[in-house]
Amino acid sequence: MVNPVWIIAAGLGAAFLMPLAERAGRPVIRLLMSAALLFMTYIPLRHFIETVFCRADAAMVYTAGFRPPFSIVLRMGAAEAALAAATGILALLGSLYMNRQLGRGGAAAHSLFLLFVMGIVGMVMTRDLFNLFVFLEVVAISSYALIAMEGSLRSISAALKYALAGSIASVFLLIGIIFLYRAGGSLDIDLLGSSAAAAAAPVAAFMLVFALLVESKQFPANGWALDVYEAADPGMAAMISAGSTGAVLFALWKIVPLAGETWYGVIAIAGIATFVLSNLMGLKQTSVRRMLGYSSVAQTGLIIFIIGAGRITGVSTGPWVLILAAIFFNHFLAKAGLFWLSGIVGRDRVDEWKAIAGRPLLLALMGLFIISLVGIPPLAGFWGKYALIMKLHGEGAWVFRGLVLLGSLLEAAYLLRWFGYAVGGEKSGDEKLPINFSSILPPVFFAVLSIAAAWFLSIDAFGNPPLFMVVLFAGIVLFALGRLPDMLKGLLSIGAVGWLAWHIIPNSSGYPQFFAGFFLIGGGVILIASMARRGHSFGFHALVVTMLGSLACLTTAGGPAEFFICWELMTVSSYLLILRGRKAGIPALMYVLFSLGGAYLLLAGLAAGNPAGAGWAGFSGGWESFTWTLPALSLAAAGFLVKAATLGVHIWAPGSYAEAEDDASPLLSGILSKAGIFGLVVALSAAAASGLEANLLYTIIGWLGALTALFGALYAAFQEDMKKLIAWSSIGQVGYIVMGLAAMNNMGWTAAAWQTIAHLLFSGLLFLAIAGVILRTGVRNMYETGGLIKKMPATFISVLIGIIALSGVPPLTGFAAKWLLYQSLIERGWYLQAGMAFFSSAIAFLYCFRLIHAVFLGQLKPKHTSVKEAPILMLIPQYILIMGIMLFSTFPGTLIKPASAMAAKLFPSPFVWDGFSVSTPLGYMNGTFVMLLVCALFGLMLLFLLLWGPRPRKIGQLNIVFAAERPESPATAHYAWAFFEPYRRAMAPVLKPLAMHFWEGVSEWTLTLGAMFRHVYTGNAQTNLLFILIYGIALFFISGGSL
Amino acid sequence: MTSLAMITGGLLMAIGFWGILTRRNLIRMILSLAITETGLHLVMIAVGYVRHGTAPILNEAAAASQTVDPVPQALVLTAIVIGVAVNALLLALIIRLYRKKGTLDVEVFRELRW
Repeated sequence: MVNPVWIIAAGLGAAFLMPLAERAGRPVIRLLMSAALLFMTYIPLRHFIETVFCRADAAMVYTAGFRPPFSIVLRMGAAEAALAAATGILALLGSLYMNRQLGRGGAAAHSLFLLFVMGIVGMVMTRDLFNLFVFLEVVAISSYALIAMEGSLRSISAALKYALAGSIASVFLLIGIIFLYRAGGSLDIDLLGSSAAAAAAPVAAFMLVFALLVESKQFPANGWALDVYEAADPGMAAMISAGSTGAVLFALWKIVPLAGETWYGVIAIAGIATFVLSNLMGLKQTSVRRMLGYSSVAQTGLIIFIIGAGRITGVSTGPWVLILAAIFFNHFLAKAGLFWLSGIVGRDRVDEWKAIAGRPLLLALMGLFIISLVGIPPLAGFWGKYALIMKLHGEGAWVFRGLVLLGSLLEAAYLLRWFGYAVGGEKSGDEKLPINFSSILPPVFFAVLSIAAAWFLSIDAFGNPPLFMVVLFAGIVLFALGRLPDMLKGLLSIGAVGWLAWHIIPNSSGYPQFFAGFFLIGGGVILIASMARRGHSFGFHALVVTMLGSLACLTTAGGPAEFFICWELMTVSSYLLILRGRKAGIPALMYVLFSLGGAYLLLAGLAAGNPAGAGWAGFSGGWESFTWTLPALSLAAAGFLVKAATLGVHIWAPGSYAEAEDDASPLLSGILSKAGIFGLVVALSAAAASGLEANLLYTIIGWLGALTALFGALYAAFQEDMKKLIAWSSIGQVGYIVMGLAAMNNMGWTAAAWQTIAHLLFSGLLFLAIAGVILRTGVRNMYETGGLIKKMPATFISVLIGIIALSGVPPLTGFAAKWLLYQSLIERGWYLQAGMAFFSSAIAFLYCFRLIHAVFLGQLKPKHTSVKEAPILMLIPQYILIMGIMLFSTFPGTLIKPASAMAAKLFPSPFVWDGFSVSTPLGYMNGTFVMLLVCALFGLMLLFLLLWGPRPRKIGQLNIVFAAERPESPATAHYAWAFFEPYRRAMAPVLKPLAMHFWEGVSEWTLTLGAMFRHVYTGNAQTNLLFILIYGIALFFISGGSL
Repeated sequence: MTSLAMITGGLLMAIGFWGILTRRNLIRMILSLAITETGLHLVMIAVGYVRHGTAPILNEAAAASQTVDPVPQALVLTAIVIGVAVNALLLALIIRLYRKKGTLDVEVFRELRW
């Protein structure tokens, strides 16, 4: 192996040769720098391979052959080699990206760049405190100059602020170093550590930690850092955010054991405070680079928190190092990539990023980097964050868990809002972006590295490629085939879903099998409609397959980690699916934030139920070692209820269902909303099986379900937009399922399973039918339609069947569901809730009637005279769903028997079967007989009307004088507008959108808080320095220090 | 002697910090920074000082315990060099800023904030 000291020699040597090389011309400078950087990357890479794969010992270099304290030691172990090699790669790509800027600066800029990189590697390798200071200064001075090189007022003033803050930090660093030297008689970190010098000179240790915390840009001593990120050239910002910050963090990591355990807690608190507050302030940002700056600072805080927390738990090796590495390198790749992208796009306001709408490569890169920062599996950040949350155990750990998750949610909010702007914009096409090979290669390369890391980590965690990786792979393949004809893509995706169904369903049993069949078969049927698409389908099928696949994987998940991964994949793919809608920017953001919030609640629940210290080694651990304690169950249930859009956390749902693309809405409302139900089933059945007493929780969930059913129905009745009407109805219908589960008895769970299927059938049917109406008429408001019965008779029949099934009257599916539900509630003793459920069903009549009445009956609008029936490919899935409704209505036993049998493992079955008739303690039902009776009565009536009724006469549209009305034109008045206005007025006091107001308040207060905190960054260099000193004093007192 | 040097150094550092935080003229801020650094250098030297010690040249004439500690001296030399470089760079940046806005008031350069 090459001696690592050559890295420094090469960097310095090449930097000093630059002025000579300049005489030979610009290409020579370039060549010299690239050669030096390659060499500086090769050495650590080689060491990394040797130490990690060949288990070689860390290489130690002693200057002049002396041992410390008479020499400086350089160490090149696995960690150092990894960081140095990563820095080398970053520098190679970064110099390529900054080709033009460096070229303008000539030899000087090239020398500075080399010195910058050399200094970083030096900081990483050295084990000598003073040497650390020297390398830190080398990095700092070269970066001041490189930042100022751009020449604008902003960049020079940012460099000045940085230099002032850096100088002050250096002063404290030096004080710390010299007094530690006095106490320990050495400058060697290891010797000092073993001589307990820090205990002898606590103030010196404090100075050291404080200086490094300032250098690593901790709140509030970091005003200068944000200015640097905002004003520096994006290439340079990437180098600082990923490169030099990494070196400072590594230095902190090295000196923390030296500083002693007094500092572990302080460091953890300083880090987490920065993480949460920086993300809070990031919410208010409109400048992309400053926002990325806030995010960088926040991630640094998270890493510092992990350094501290890892030490507190007494374990600094093994899993904690992996957590640290995962989160650090995840940020390293993603942030550098995003800064580079920001330079390519060149727009600095978040809302100007619509410039890249319709550019798949840029969007894919941006999306990948953002979701890796958010911590979505299987990217590296996820593994780190999941293991971190699991590892945080012991007293007060829930505070830290909560803060980590809160900070992550805030960060997700502003990053995804930015992404929403980029995706949601109108295609502009004519925008010229400076994309060339040297600018696009670096982010692409880092994206590839991220994906490779994700692949490696997933395999490492689960042994062999888990099923969700197969699903993701299928999604990626479909994405790559995005330009194929819609029909073919539709067939391919149905094939993929079918393959999964064939693979999963026969191999599972009980509820998992039920839900796997539900997700895959239901999804497959609805997918048929997507084949009717004409254009604008790039990426749609990939997302649907990923969503359905991850839902199916959810049912096969063998343990908490796998379950959570599938949950997150499902969330992300459905978020992107919603985001495709034309006006879906805000609803999609709301959806993803609520979903992530729910997911984080679930994660907290999983952490509460997991054995202490589960973590890196335990990804593949199963449910056996997991205990559903009351906190675990409550948190997880809260997370699932968010997904099921229960009242209070439902506000994401109406907008998302309504604004998603028309053929995606049935997938979301019919299929996706049941993910939360499946989660509840998993959690509640495990809790019931373990005999956990949680009656209060069940009562709360039951009430939430009842209120959801009631308010969902009420709001549905007052909608003008037909998609919103079904969306609200959907929310209410899922409320019934929640109620059934909360009843915790066999009939309730049977009703829930029944209603799950029934809701898919009728809400899928209604959304598809309405999708056809919207496709043909181009309007969504009911009062803009009317009289479509003759134009779209097949669709009319779909809606008719759909609303009968929905409203819960015999003979169709909804009836049996409600019949079972009421009984289960009464059996549970929840009479009031049963009454509410009954009342909600009555309200369902109102909106069901309105839907069919306003859209299909009454006057045809003149502009709709040439409307045609919906395309056949949209009708096929509708009629498959109708067949399902008819089958289950006529033979309820086909569903009740297996559903009750599934529930019988937990609760004894009360059903007694006699032929087609089923009896319960409260009554009996014979679905087949009811169906036959209704059909017979209907047939008799029809026969009567045909035989003895007046002969039908065809009349013109305006010829309604028989009704004593004389409309002047068809458009004069449409009574569908404000149809239930009297009811709405009567109900007004209870219909105030309280939940909406609550969440608006939360959002406003959060933003105000963020705005308040960021006022510490006045932009004045002197205030920055003042805050550094105040920060120091505060830290000193937090540590309980005394002179 | 050691403590005198240390107290003087500490005093100089305090004066320097006071100047950095109160002077609004950028050049005066840099001068204050230089004063702080001088104080720091004095403190560092004081750490290695041995009363009645000799120059740190090891030979028969002086035992190792009687020489002053050479390490802080080496550190101070390095620190001085670095300090000079940083201050020179800072002043160069200030010249550039002055050319842009014609003022040295730190309050004025507040384009980047929040």
